[in-house]
Amino acid sequence: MADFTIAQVSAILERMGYDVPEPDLTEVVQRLNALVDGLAQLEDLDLSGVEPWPLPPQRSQARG
Amino acid sequence: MAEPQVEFLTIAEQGRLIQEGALSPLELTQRYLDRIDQLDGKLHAFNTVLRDQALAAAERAEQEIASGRYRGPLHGIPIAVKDQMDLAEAPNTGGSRVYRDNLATGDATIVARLKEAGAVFLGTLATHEFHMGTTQRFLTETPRNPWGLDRTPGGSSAGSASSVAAGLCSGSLGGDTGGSIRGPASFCGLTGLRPSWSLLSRHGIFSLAWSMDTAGPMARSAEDVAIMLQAMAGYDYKDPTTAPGPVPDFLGELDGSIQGLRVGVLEQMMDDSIEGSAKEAADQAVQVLKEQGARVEHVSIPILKETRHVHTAVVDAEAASYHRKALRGRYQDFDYNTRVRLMVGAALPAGLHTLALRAKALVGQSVIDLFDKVDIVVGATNRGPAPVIPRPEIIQSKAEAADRLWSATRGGGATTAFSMAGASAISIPCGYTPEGLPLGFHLAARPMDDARLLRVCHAFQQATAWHTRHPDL
Repeated sequence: MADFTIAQVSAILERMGYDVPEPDLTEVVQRLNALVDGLAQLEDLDLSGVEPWPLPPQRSQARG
Repeated sequence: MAEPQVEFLTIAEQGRLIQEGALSPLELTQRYLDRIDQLDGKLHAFNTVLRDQALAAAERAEQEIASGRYRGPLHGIPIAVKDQMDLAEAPNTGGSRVYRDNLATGDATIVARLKEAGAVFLGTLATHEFHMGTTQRFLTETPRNPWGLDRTPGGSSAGSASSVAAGLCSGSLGGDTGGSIRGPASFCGLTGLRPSWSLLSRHGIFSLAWSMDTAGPMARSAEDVAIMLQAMAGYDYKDPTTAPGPVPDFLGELDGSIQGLRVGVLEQMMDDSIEGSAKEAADQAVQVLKEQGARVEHVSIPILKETRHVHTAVVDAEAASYHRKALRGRYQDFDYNTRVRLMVGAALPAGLHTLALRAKALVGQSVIDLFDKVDIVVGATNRGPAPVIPRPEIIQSKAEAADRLWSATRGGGATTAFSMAGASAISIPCGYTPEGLPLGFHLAARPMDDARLLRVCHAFQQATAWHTRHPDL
């Protein structure tokens, strides 16, 4: 998977109304690419049936 | 043996003396204000000191108690609040220049409840900007750890930990999203509770991440934490996420045996990423629980390795949404690290954010499932003692960014896993390094089992004295 470029990220942020100067922009791009790489590990998980609840349903909450 | 200094007594001890008329709330408040004058110039724990208001409140408490209207163990007790929560007449800045002039006109619900219980508020306490834990340029000066002034007190509840540890107040309020109470409590030798999610109202509190934030008490013992929690907990119509129903009797359930307690030692909090002294102290803490009748086994959350970046994805994206207007208008007023992280959160593709939310739910469920096997899950709170305050750095490569991201997950991201589950989690002191720096023991219970968690910690502290130490300032 190709990394985001500075031009791509700059365009996205500008479209959202953010004016991000250097050196911030370079660091944003490097951090974003590192985070996307890290999140790629989630592809190894079995997330079938897992919904994005704010908190997990407390199915085993009752005290044992 | 010398008498303990009054400023380092626990809230329970101070409360008993106040009730007996042997300790004056006014004198105790003045004592703390004097210590703030003497010591905060090097600790930078306070952002605002409400001297006149605190003395007036203490005088009112003294008069009420003298006239027989004693409210309970917090009556006349001086505490302070993280600069994230509304405390009437004080600025609520969120630790940010962006909100430097945001004067609170009322109290956050939990602050109001503590006032109702008779607590005296000394002021607001330094925090990492918007509680993100990575601030380079603080609103005032960089907060320092009273156990070593070159060390960080941790974040984001930096002043909340430093102030109590240094004897500048009796207890404090912190805020915890992924570990912002428990980490600083560990670094400063305190007891710091992240209560079950939905137990405390978040009304009047700056958000970091809606789905994970909670406030919580920081103090010198589990008993003190229970006293503060008792006063704050319960449904609030101003915060629909608060749980309806009666508040447990945390104080009433504090005493009692832990015989037969099922304790799970979490592999990811005791692995090779934990420094020797921290692991040894946590091992000894487990032994203390065993000696009190606990049954110990080993447990694991294997998916923590794959999910260690989920916290950053969820929190930074939610925070970016929360601050989007200010980011457009006052970008340069944000700390460098804060604004860079928020821009990453803003630019993260929605598909990955949703994937992270699903992984977060999976982690939370994995934690909840542990509590089918054990009552309490334990381990080392941090990988080691408080580190030296880091120097500001600018990241210029993806490798550096990945390294920073890895470092921020504390090895496996275990403290945040309990946040994702909405669990009750706490750090208590369990030892010191040879250099005299505090080490923390992390314990967690299933959501809404805070009373049991506090009972275990109280039993531990009845058998040990780690929590009674304080720094020599």
